Amino acid sequence: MPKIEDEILARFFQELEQTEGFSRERVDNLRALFKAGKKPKATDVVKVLSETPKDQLP
Amino acid sequence: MIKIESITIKEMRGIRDLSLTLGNEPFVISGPNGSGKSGVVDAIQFVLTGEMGRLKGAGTADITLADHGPHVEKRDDPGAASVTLNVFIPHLEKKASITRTIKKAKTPQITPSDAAVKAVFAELADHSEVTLSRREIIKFILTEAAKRSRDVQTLLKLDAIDETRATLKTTENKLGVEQTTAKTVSEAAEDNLKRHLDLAALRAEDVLAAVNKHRQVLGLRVLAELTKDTDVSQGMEQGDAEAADGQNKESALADVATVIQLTDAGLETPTQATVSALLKDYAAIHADPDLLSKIRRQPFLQTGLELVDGPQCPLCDRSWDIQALRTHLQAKLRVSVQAQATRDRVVDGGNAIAAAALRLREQFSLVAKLPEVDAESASRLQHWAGELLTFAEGLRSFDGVMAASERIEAGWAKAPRALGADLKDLRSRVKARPDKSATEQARSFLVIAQERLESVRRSRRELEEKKANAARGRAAYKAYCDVSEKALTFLYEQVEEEFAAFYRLINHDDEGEFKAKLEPADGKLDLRVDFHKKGMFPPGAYHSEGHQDGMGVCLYLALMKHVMGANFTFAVLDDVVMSVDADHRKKFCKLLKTHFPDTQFIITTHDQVWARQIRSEGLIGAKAAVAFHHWTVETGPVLDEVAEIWDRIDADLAKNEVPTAAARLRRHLEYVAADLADELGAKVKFRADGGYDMGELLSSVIARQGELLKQAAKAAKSWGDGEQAKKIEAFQKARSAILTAKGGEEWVVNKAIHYNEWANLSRNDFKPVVSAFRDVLQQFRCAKPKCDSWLSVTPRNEPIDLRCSCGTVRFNLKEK
Repeated sequence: MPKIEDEILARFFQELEQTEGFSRERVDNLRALFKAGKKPKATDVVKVLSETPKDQLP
Repeated sequence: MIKIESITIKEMRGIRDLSLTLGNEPFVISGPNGSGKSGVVDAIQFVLTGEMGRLKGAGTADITLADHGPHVEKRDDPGAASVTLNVFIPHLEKKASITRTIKKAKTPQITPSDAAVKAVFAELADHSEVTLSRREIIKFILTEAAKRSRDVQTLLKLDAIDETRATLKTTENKLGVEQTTAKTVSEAAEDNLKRHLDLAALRAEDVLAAVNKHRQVLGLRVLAELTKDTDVSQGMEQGDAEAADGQNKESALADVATVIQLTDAGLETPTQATVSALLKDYAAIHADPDLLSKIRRQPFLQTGLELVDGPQCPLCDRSWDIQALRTHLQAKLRVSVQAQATRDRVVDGGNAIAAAALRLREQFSLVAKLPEVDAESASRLQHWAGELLTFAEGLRSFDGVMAASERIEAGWAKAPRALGADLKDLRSRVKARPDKSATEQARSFLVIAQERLESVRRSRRELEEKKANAARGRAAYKAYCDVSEKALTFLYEQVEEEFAAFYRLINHDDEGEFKAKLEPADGKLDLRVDFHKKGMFPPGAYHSEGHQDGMGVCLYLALMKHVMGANFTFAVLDDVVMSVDADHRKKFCKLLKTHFPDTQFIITTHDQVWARQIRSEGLIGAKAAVAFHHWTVETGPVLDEVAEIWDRIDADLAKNEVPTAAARLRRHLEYVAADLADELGAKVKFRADGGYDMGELLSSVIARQGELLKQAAKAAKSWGDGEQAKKIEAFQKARSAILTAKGGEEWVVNKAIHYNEWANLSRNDFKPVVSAFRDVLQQFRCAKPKCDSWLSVTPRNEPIDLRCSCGTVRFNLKEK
């Protein structure tokens, strides 16, 4: 049975995929960061949210 | 998740050596207080989680699992203290076992050791709430909203949601600070360019006009547009650009003039509003030492929360309850909402002033590089610029902003007096520069303009990136808050509906329209319940203790249903409904039977009446019970195992241990006689202390059975039911044969009354006694092995049937 926090995370990522500024790649990176059981630090999340997508020139 | 087939406990807490067969079915452990029931609960909790709730929490500071988990006689041998569970895992359709010793509490032995089985036990290890005591259920009901929220969150495993929310909030803040810093850098770069071009604003046409004027002096092409790639010095020879060495009299004068102007006007002017707000917060913090203490603990607690990631403390290596510690830290963080808000304001104010200080530093750094600055002035200017940097960096933490309170109050940017003189002297020296030729001036102007323009472009790009990052940080935090709030609101709505439905089922007679409302807000979970349609109140306001007990169990069951769903296959209820009266307990049995048919409830109780009621209501089978009679340090619980009593007595006699066998038989008869009296509605003299004599009970039970059989025979006759009459006659004959062969009913009674003499009998003399009682008792139960239940009358007040649970034995008692 999926845990409530996992259900919330799944919906959270779905929501982000529809949000401007969140490419599929960025959401996938976030998803990997929050993978079941992981507790990422804020600095790791900052890094993912600040990354330049690979399909864009810096 | 699992169902328990059997449990073996050795040298654990008050238990020396105990094996119970539960058969994957609901089971009752009864016995007076201090008879060792809770030892079984502790053992189940320990083998599944590696912890024992009883040895943690308030009042257990000097108690540890390692030191006090083993039996007191084995406290130096934690390896001897072990629990083994043999279980069935329904969803895997597999049997498995788990053994855990106190010595290796963190590493249980699991068989089979495959990934699926290990995953089941790993998940169970995270669900200590499958064992529940009254002390624990009542905490959901009679507690303040913040604590209820914590307890319910712990049960629902919602802590992780709070942790993720906190991480995303910190992320949002960090990205916000990065944006602010980038904005400061960008504004400083724009200021430098504006000053150099002598413009109030950086409009493209004005910038072009300013640079073209100098380009024309050099005979360079007039620039028609300013694009993101335009080089305003384009067309200059490489050597000319280098010769210009970046120095330009007008520009230098403008830079010096700006710094002097700021010094004269009061350097802190742009941050005046921020400073005023900070001063108010300083005053509030200084007036309330408790507030300062709470604020200072915030980052400490936050760091602690992040570091609680293993089973042991990283400092002293002692084991801790990671879940409880996290919950505790989160609770402490939540209660300081005001402290958090004040802290955030102070930190934000510090960031704003730091940004202004850095801009100012940039301006001082520019003028400090001018060739007219002598060594002494340069040192003072650089020192002051360094001071500003140190000051700005110090403002990046709450404590830094607090430490800077005196400087901020007195005027944070107040420059040393000597610096003012230095700047004015510098202005004179720059003015005294010999005028360069128009072309030299134009070259240096364009080189500096291009440098500063590039700096503006770079910092603007950086700012745009930081803005986008900060927007993502805000969006992520908002999305998570929205999604989690929606999910939790839905969850709580479901839980409150189920909770109220369960409670109505138990209290249908007096609270058939009971309602409840769970309201989550600001880290609290408010619970309001209906009281006889007079309004919604806190549960402890008007409801009795028994009703509150009922609410606790109902809320627990509703929560567990949502936490574990189909995996809610077993739970240990440790004396949880002791304040609920008999009638409501009956309905409680119905609730468990009808709403949780696939859950194996292991119920402990000190109340024999309740233990019997659980069986008579059909929640457990006839043999699914054990009664603990008493307890000693040497033996642990002394019990009567209903299921295996005769095997155990035979084993005692095989070893010629007649006193042991005699004591076992006596206890069994005491237990069974009371049970049968209850099941058949035998007439006995009421005793308020419940101290019924076994001989008297047995006598009444046998007499009552005889009456009931006569009544059944009469009823069969009245209905003309010959077949039933024959069955009853056969039953009566068999019964008489057993009783009369031993000398009639009196024989049994006499033997029962004189049981004190049994221990002195020889093995051969005692064997017939055992055999006789076994035969007698068999007359009171269904012979079908799967049923094996005691015969009982239904309904209890005015019986119309004498029957077993499965209906194989069924005698109608009502005449036509």
